Amino acid sequence: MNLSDEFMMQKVKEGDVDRLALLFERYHLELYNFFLKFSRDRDLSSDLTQNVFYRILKYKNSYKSHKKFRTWMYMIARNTRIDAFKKNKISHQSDDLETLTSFEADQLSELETKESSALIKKALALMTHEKRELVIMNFYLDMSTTDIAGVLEISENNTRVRLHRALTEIRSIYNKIAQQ
Amino acid sequence: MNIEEFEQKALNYFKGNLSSQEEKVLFHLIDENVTKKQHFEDLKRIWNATTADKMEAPDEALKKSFYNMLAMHQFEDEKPKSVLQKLEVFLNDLTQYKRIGQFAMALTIALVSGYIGFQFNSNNSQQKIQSYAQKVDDLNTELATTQLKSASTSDRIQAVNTLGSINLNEDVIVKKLVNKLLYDDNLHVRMAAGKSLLAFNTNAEVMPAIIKAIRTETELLVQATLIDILITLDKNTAIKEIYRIYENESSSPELKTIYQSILESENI
Repeated sequence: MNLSDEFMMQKVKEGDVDRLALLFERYHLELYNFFLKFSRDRDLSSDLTQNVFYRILKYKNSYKSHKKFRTWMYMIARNTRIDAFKKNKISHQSDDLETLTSFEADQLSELETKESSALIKKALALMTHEKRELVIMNFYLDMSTTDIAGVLEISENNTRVRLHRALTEIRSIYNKIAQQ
Repeated sequence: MNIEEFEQKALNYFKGNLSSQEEKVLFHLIDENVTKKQHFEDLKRIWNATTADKMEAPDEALKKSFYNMLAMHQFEDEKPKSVLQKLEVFLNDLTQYKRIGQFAMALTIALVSGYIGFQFNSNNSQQKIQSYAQKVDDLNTELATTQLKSASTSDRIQAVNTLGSINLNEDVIVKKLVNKLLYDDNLHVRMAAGKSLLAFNTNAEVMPAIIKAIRTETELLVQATLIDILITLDKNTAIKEIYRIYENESSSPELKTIYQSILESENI
């Protein structure tokens, strides 16, 4: 029995929309965390995850079976995120360290702030959206440069250059807040 | 190896995606170059931090809203554009139903039949109507088949009564009725099944089933009814069965009295 993502999505495209449930079970956690790492907002992340699956259904006919489903899904996720941020007028600029410290003060305990996971959350929040997205895809979602290139619809070389810039930025921010 | 390639090699090393040969090359570079070593250490710290920053589970509400959305989408997809299409979708759903109650199904059959009558009068879409009429037959069959398994006695009685008139293979119907005649817990269902079998008196399975039921039946009322049916089917066979019961030592005096009166009334 073929249970690949691509086969399932092809079936959804052909009208067997029940199969989307399987893809939802496979990916909703990952997608939710993609949005959560980005926005630090649980409700928004849930809404956006739901919205991605809504769009998958709505645009199912545009899916090409030769395309990796996960790549296609993250293309949709990325557009969903951008649209939502525009609609809600969420700034494309990163948080500044001062704002972030006060914003997260009630969310992170004293102990947590000393932990690396809290540091990385802060560091991500201080990055620009474009670079933050790259780090999330590369580090958290374990996407290869080929996959990221597919999502961003750019060449692999271009992806590697952008990733390098993103890594340079996060290194710098992380080292800075780790020393504080 | 340029810096971008170095970074990706380092990340692949953290992810465990490097071959031993590639690892050797990577560590050779790190050992030879202090800047690269620092770069590698920074990436390692970030990698470890992201690993510590675990995936979080969303609220259960996300699943609920997804499945609601899926159901809504299916509904929208199937939403017909005309009354006839609506009926078609509805009937298709019902034929694979098991999701609606028997009462609702019976009501549906009545409504659909009424609608078909109306459509015939308006002389509209004859072909479609015929197809719906066929579907109503199928629904009747489905209903009767389901009712046979119902916990309700009246449902099962209705089912065995309906089986005589539905559009289903005769052998299948007889098999279902015989099953009810021999094994249903309720005596009224067994009696109704026996009476329905009369409609299939030419079927080879019917007579042996009635005889078997007479011999195994423990309820006097049912046994008497079956004897009555057997007399209609084949008087000689019935007489043999009556004598067998009459002469059986274990038969009660009341039973013998009844059969004696049957034999007398039949002038046997």
